[in-house]
Amino acid sequence: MPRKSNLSRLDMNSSSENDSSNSGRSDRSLRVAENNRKKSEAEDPFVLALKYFSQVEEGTPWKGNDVVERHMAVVERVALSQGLPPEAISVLLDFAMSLRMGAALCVRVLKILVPASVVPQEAVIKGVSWLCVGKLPMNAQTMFIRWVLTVFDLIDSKDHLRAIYGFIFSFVTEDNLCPYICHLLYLLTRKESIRHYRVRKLLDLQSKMGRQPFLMHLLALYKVFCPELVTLSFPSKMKSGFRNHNSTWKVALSAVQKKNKAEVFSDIQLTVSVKKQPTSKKRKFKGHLMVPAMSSVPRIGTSNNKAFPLEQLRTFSQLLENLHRIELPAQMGSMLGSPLALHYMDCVRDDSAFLRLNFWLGHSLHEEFLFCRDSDSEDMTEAVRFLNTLISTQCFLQEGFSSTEVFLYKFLRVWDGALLRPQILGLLSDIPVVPSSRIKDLLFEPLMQLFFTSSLYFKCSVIECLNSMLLKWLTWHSVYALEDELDISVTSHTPLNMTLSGLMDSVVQLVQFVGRIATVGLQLEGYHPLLLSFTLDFYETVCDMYIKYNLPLVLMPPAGVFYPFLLATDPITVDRLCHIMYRYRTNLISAKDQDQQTEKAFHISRKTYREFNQYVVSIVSCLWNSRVFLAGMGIELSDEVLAQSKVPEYWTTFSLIHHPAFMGYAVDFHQKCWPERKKLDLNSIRTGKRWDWYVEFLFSEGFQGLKEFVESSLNRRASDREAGATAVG
Amino acid sequence: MDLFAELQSAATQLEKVALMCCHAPAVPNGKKANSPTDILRIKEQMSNQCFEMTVKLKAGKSRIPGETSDAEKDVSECENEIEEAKINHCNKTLALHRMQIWQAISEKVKQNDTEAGRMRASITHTLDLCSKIMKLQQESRDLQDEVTEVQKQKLEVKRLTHEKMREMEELKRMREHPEEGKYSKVLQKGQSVLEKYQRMTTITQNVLRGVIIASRINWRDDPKLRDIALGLESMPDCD
Amino acid sequence: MSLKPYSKLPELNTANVLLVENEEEFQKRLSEAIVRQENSVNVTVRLARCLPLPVENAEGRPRIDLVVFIVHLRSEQSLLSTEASLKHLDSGYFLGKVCFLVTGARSGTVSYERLASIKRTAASLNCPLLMTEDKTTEGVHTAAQRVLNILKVSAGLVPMASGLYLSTLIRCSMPTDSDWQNQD
Repeated sequence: MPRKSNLSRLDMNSSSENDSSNSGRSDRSLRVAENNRKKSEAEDPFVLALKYFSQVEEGTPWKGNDVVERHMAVVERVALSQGLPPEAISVLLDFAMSLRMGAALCVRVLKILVPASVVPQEAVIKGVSWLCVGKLPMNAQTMFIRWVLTVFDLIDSKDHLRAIYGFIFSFVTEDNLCPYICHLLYLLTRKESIRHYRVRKLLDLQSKMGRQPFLMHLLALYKVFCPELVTLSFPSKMKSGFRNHNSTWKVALSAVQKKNKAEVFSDIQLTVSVKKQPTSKKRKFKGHLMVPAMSSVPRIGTSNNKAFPLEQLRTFSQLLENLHRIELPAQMGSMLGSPLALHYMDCVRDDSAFLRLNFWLGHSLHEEFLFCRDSDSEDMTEAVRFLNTLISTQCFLQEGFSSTEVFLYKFLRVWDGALLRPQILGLLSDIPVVPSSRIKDLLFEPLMQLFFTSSLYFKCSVIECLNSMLLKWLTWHSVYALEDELDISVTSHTPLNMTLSGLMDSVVQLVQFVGRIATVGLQLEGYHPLLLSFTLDFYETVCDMYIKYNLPLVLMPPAGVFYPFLLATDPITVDRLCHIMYRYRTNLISAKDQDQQTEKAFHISRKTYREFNQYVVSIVSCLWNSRVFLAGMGIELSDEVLAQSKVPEYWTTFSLIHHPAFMGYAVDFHQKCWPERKKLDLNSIRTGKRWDWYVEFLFSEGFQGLKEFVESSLNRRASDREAGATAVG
Repeated sequence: MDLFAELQSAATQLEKVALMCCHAPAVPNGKKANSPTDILRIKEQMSNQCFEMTVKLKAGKSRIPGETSDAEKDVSECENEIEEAKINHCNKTLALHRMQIWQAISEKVKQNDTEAGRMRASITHTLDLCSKIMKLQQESRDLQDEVTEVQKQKLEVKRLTHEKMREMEELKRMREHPEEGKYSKVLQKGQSVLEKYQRMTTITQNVLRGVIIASRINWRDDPKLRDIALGLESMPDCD
Repeated sequence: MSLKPYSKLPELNTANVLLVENEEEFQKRLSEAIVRQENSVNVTVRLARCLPLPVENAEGRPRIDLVVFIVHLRSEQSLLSTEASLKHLDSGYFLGKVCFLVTGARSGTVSYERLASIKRTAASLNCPLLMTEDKTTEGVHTAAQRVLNILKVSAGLVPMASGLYLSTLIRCSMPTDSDWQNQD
C-alpha cells in the first residue's frame, strides 16, 4: 500500500513543518519519507492526475476525452476512499472553478472534493475570486458555497476570508445563493465587518423576500454587535435558520474522517517522540457530530493586542486575571468541550457568545437528529457522547440553551420514545419555564401520546424527568425571585422575564398534568409499585414547594393517586404518603402564618384546605378508626356491595393491623407478643395497651412518615381507641 | 434496561398472586378448560364487546351534523367528567379487590400447614427488605436535599457573579475615561471628524470593490490586485 | 365489503392485529417482533397490502381487534394507498381500534406536507399516530411494544380500560407546527 502511507506522511510533513524541536530520530524518519515520496511520485497515478489537472489547457474538449476520464477516475477513487490532501484540493478547486474544461466537469469535481485533513484558505479565496468572474452557472455557484460551508471548520485559517467579506457579501443579491451566503457571512461576521450600507442592503432584501429566517439570523447577529444600526426587533425564539447544505458530502466526509482518525491514532502510537503539535492539528479530523477543536478568530488590522484567546487558557487563575479581555473562539461549539470556557460562559453576560453558541448548537442538533439522511445507522455512540456533553454543560451552567429547547419541541413530535431516551429526557428536564399558554401544545400533548403507548419503564422515566424539571424551575425561582417585584428573570443572556403569577400558572399546569397521567397510568399498569414510587418522588417535591423553594403554592394530589397510595400493598408507599401529608401540613401552617402576618396576598383557597383535611380524615379513618367505607371518605361503598364481598368485619380491613401493607408487621408483632400461641389471632392486638405497643413497634421499625403523621395530625383519645384528625384551615 | 427487566420479572413473580386474583390478564396455556378464572375472563371480554357495541349504537343515534367549537368544548368537559367518575370507580374496585385478597391471604396464614409456614417465611423476608429499602430511601432523600442545596448555592453565586461583573465593567469604564466629562466637547468633535473620515473610507472601499466586481476579473491572480482586495475590509487603527 | 369489528365473538386471552402496508417491507419484521415479545396473551398478526380483504377468507378470519396502517413518508403511494384502504373499514373501528404507524419522519428527504397530510387524516378520525424508527432493531422492538400496548386494550384484555378510552388520551392532534415548513 505505498499510496496510503505516502498520503499520511504528506500530512505529517505539513503539520510539523514549523516544529523546531523534533528529535533527531523523527527528523530522519521524515527525510526517509521525503525520499520515498519523491521516488514514488514519478509513477504515482494520483500525482500524475493532479499534474494533468493543474496544467491542462483551457478549452480542451472533455467529451470522449479518455485521458481526462482516466485521471478523474483516479482522483475520485482517492477522494472517496481517503480524502484529498490540501494541495490536491487547491489544484482541483482551481481547475473546477476556472471552467477550463466546462461546467459539467466543474460540478463533477466539486462533488468529490472531500478533504483528508485541512482545506487551504488560499484555495477558497481563489474560488471566490473565480466566482467574481461571473462565468459559473448557478448550480455550480451554489454548490461551491455549500461546499465551503461544509468544510468551514477544516479551513486552516480564516483571516483572509474575513478580509474579502465584502466580496462574499456582494452575492447576497443572488436569490439562489442568498441563504448560503447569509450562513457563510454569519460564520465570518465580526463587529468590524458591520457597515451601514450592509445593514441597509439586508433590510432591503428582507422587505423584498419577506422575513426569511436566514436573513433574520444574520441581522440578529448584526444587532448584537451594533444595536444602534439595527432597530428591528426579533422574536425571542426564531425559527431555526439556515438551509441544509452538507448533504452532498456528508456521508463521504464522515467516512473519510472516521478512517483517518483511526490511522492518525496508530500513527501517534508509532512515533511517540513527535511533539504534541501534530496531534492537536489532527484533532480537527472530527466527525460531524463532534465538539470542534478550539481555535480563535485570528484578527488582522484593528486587532487590539491585549486580547487573550480563550484556547490559550490553562488555569483557573489565568481566567481570573484575563476575564476582561477574553477573545472567543471562532467555532463556538468548541466551548462545550472546555471546562475553563464554561466557567467563562458562566460568569460573563456576553450576548454574542450565547447567540453564536445557540446558533451552532441548533444547527448541529437539527442536522443530526431531525434531518438526517442516513438514519439507518445503528451506531449511536457519537450521538450519545455529543448529547451527554451537552447535558453536562447545561448541568454546569444550570440552564438549558434555547436552541436545545426549540430542538426538543420538534423532536418530541417525531420521537418513537426509545431512540436516545436517557439523553432526550435528560435534556428535556433542563428546559426553562414554559409559558402556561404554550405548555400544552409544546410539551404535554406529545408526551401524553408517548406516555400512554409506551412501557411501564418509559412511564416511570417521564415522571422522573418532569420531577427533575419541576425541581429546576423551583430552584431558579428560589434564587432569582426578586423580593419586591415578585418576578423572576430566569436567564441572564436572554432576559426571559416571567412574572410570579406566570411561573405559578406553569407550575400548576405541570403538577396537574403529572397528576392526570399518573392517575391513568396507574390504572393501566395495575397500580405497579414502581410507578407508585416515581409518583411519590414527584409529590415529595410538590408538597414542599413553599417551605423549600419559597413558592407560595400548595397543590394536593388528585384522588386518582392518593387512594392508590393509601391502599398500596407495600408499607413504604403508605409511609411515604404519611410523610408527604405531614409536609403538606407544615407548609399549609407556615403559609397560614405568613398570610396573617403580612398583607401580601398569598391566599390558599378553601378548596385546598378542604382537600387536605379530607385526605387526613381518610387516612385516620382508614388506618385507625376502621371507618373507611363510610360516606365522605372518598371510597364510599354501600353496605350491599360490601356484604356481597363476603369479607367478615370488612370495616377493619384497612386498619394498621389488617392493611395489606402492614399485615406482615402485625403477624410479626403477634409472634413476638405470644411466642407460644399456635393460633394466629390478629384482632387480639386491638385490645388493651397492645394497640399502643403495636403502633410504637411500627415506629421502631423505621416508619418515620407514619410517626410524623401521628404526632402532627392525630389527637388520640386513649379511652376509646378512637382517633380524631387535626384539621388545618 | 437490563436491571429494569430483572426487576420486572422479579416483581411479576412476587405480584402474580395478587394481580391474578385482582384484575390482570391470566397466563394462557392453562390447559384446564373452563377453569373459573377462564370463565371470568371470557365474561370480561364479552362484556367489553357488548359495551363497545352499545357505544357504537348510541353514537350512531345522537350524531349531530357539523361539529362546532362549542361541541368540542363540551367534549372536553364530558371527558373530564368521565375521568372523574372513572377514578372513583377504579378506587372503589381497587379497595374491594385488595380487601378480598388480603382476607384470603390472612385466612391462609392462620392455617398451620406448610404453605402457611412458607408464607410466614416470605413475610419475614419482606420485612427485612422493607427496612433495608427504608434506610436507602432515607439516604437518597438526604442526598437529594444536599444536591438541591448545593444547586441553590451555586445559582446564587452565579447571580452574585453577574452583579459583580456589572460593577466591574462600570468601574473599568470610569477608570479608562476618568475625565470623560471634562473634555467631552472636544472628544465629541474629534470623534465625529474621525467618523466622517471613516465613513468616507468605507465608501471608497466599497466603490473600489464594486469596480473590481463589475470588471469581472480574477483578482486573485494579479498580486497587486489581490493585496488591494484583501485590504478592503481593514480600517486604519483608531487608537 | 367493509371489515366489521363486532361481527365475531372474542376468544379467550386472544388478540388479533391486522397490519396494512402497501410496500410489504416493514410489516413482516414488525409482526415477528410482536409475536416474539408477547407471552401472556395469544396474539395473532395478520398482514395485508390494502383493504378490502378478500371475501373468500372472511369466514375463517378471527375478530380483528386493531387495524394498524403503516405509512412510509418516503413514498407518496404509501399515503394514497392508506387513504384508499380507510374507506373499507366499518365506522366501529374508529372508536379506538385503528392506529397509524409512520416511518421516516426524522428524515430530511421527506416533505413536511406529507407528514401534515397523514396527521390531518389521523386527527380527523380521532386515531393515534405513532412515529417509528423502522431501520433499527431497537426501533422495531419499540414499535412492536407500543402496538401491543394498544392492542391489549382494544382487545378488551386490560381491566378498567377500553379502546375508546385510550384513544381519547392518545389521539393525534391537528398539525400546527409551521416551523417545519421552512426546511429543505
